[in-house]
Amino acid sequence: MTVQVQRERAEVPWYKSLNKIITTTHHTHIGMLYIAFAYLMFIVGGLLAALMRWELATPTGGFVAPELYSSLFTVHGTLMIFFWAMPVFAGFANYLLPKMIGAPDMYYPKLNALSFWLLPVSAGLLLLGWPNVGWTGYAPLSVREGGVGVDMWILSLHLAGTSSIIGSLNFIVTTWRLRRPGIGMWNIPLFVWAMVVTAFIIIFAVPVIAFALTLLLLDRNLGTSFYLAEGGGDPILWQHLFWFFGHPEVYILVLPAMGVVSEMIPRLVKKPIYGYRPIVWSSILIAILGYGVWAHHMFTTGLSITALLPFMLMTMSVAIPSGVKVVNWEATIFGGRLRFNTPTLFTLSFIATFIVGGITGVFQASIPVDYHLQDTYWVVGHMHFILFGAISQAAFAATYYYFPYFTKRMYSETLGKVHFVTANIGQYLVFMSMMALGLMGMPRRYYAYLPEFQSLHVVATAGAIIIGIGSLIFILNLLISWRIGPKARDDPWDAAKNNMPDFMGEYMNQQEASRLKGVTQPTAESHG
Amino acid sequence: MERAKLVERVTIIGAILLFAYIGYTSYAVLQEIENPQQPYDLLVKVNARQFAWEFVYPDGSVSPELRVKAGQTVRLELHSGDVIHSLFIRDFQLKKDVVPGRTNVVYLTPLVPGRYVIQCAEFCGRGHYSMVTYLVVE
Repeated sequence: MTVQVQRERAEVPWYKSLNKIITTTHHTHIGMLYIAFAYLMFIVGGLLAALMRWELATPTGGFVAPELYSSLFTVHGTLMIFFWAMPVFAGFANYLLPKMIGAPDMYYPKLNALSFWLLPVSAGLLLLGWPNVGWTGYAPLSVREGGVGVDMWILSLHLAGTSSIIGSLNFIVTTWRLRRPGIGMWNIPLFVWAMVVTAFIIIFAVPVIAFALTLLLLDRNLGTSFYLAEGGGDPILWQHLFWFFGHPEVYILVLPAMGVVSEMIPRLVKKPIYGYRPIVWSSILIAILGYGVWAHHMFTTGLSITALLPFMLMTMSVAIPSGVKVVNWEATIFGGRLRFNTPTLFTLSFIATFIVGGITGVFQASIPVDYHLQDTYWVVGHMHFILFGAISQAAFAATYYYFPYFTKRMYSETLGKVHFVTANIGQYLVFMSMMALGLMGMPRRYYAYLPEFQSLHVVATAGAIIIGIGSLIFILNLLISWRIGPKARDDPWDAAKNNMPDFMGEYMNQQEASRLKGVTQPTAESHG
Repeated sequence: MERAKLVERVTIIGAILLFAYIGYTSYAVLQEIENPQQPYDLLVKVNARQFAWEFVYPDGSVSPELRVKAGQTVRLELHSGDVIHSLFIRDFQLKKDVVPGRTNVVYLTPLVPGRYVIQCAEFCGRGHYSMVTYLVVE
């Protein structure tokens, strides 16, 4: 009787039972939950962005109120960083990392489930709190702003940080303890390297923001004055603490994207990765140098030149390991066999946009140039090139690439290419206009602006609409293909056939198992 | 494969040389513009508050717009009583935060008469966008 009930349940996929969704601790399930949650937040954040762009189409505003506009950019920023870009790669890591190193599951499966389920709660706190002080929450504005919005924002980030720390410990311990024999330090897949380095950045950076947020909470509620000049505190302290976390955060976001791209490129062009060790070392170097650049967000605060100059030099030097990665990817592609399917296209556009976003970042590193660019739309354009153009497009590429593993079905290649074209045309319209506006002197976070800026703002809004339509097509493509897409092959990208199986550890496990059984198994088989 | 290594090394060395050059020129420019003991003709105290600018001249007069004469070197001393603002004069590529509890200093020598927009560049609350005034050079 019991046996029969269990068999009936096993036939229903796990994601169709609410009970299973809530209680599952399996790494593939948690990974897919992370990714699904991240895409949900991506849609919410995208809608907020659409409202902002619509409001900015006219110089006088009027579509939304100024208070609402402040909340829109605050929630959009926090949501996209903490609840889209971070969870989506945490999701890929949960799904891919154990398979790549041949582990049966994460080392702490229950903690893994906890780190996921903290996220919806903290996203809920953020959306219900509806803060309005900017995602950077600069004190003393964030101390003086009334209401509970900022308090809920603080608690939301506390929870999200806790979730990231738990997840990071899990990635490190899993990689340390559960690697199968034969996967040593210098043949761990590059994505696993990237995730471990990222996990270390999280473990060192997140406690700092937790500390800064706690001081802010005390300032707001218990009348302390850590950030208030009139009470003997220092408003600049917040910026030091925030950016000591905030800049490594950028590398927390981009390293997994680089890692997953380093995994996909060789398999897509059917040629082994060029420069494995330089790519690993550049990740480690980025992680270390990333801690020494925080004050480049503070060039205009009036700190002395002696204090600021080292940050200018460190900021420039962090560009070098990033450049090393780009050169190695290009060397891998060079002479490879390019297939123009959607993941390849998005991987290529990741590299292209990363170059655009990265080089525009070096401009700001020069302090006198930054005096003009700081807090203008130039910065907004630059960081969106990295966050949307590079990091999100790497996430899109990875979603298309691993979709057949997640769902056992293929997505629609035509719709995927439409998504690629819209995302790329749209992003250059939006973010290039923003950079031009910044050079013209349009400060960021302006609800209404000088009439002379309008034409470029209209171009940016048009671009945002194009991105929005493309993203809608993308989400529909995924959902519809999940139901009615053609069945995927076991080795959808011929990776195992070209001797680069997608999940090296799992592949080695299967080879060993079939050798023990005395059966030869030609291709890798995957389990959802 | 050797060609890729060559490209990689050239990129790294080229970038280091380029960055060293940018770093040196930036340093030279900064020495010039951030010199704290510059001679000046006019001292103006700037008071920023949510959401307006106020300029106090040596004779005690106050105006919502900054009025100076062409060719004068002006020393601006920036004060804020509430939150962080930022004085941004885009035509002079000049920006300095106005931080409560400290006095930041900016030097400015306008040469061409005209009206130049002054904007607040650091988000200071719901009225941030309305914190716009003009530098009038006569």
